[in-house]
Amino acid sequence: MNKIFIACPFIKFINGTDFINNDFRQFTEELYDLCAKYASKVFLALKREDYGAKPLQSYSCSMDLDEAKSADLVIAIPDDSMGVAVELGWMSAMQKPVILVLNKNQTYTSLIYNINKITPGKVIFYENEEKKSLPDIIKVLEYYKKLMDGDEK
Amino acid sequence: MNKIFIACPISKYIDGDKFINNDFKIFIEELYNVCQKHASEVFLALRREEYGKKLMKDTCAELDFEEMKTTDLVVAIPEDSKGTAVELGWASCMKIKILLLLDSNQRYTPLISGLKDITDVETIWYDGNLNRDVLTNIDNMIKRKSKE
Repeated sequence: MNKIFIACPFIKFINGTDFINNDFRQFTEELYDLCAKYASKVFLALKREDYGAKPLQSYSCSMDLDEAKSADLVIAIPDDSMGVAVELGWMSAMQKPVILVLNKNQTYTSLIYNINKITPGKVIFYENEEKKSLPDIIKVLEYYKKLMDGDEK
Repeated sequence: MNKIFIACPISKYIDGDKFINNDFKIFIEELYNVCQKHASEVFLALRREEYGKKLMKDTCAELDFEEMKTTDLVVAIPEDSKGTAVELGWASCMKIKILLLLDSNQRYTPLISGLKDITDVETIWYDGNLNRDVLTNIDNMIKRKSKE
């Protein structure tokens, strides 16, 4: 597998140049490291901008779309993020596999909940803490690694 | 123009099988009529689902996606709707023209307000109220887009 795109909320956790949710930061860092074991490239916008500490001098949506275009699959934590919803629209339009990481106690719009009806992928549910989803994410990454790279791992 | 797709919030305005925001319903119906003047086909999921009476939660993703593929122009009122955001993702990825209606009192993610970097986007700003002036602006804008 060449590249994994991680889509997750961004703005809601940034205050000035501070990242205000340490648990979520830890989770995304663990997820990033995990993905790096399965793909040679991992894109996480939070990492690009050092979790708010280094905002981009100039930003264009096309930068994120270009990253999405060259990705093999997306792992998305949609939460209530409009930005992640747009990225899920891109990924599904390009027919890229979408791994949805959903909170059991949250309600999602049908177009997100059922995104795998228009593009391949899997849904992983967690309860309360995002990091509880990591073991299931590993299983799904194993599956896609085998599917995309054959037995060369 | 062949087809216009109207993308707007649905679930936040539905309680059971009732549509709970009559002002929004009136505006959307008028918007539908404006769009009909410019395109032979207009898609509005709210109409298909009879404003909540016939919700199609299990099948709407595939159905909406198929509708988008044959669309020439999307008129979108994102508000805080994640469904509309997914549709804007589809439209921008497919390089479909977008007419974006944004509330000047609301803050939008750059992935919505900056979609012009990806596809042809015209933005109409409104000040909290979706009223007749907004409809007139939309009418004029679609007229202009039809000629391009």
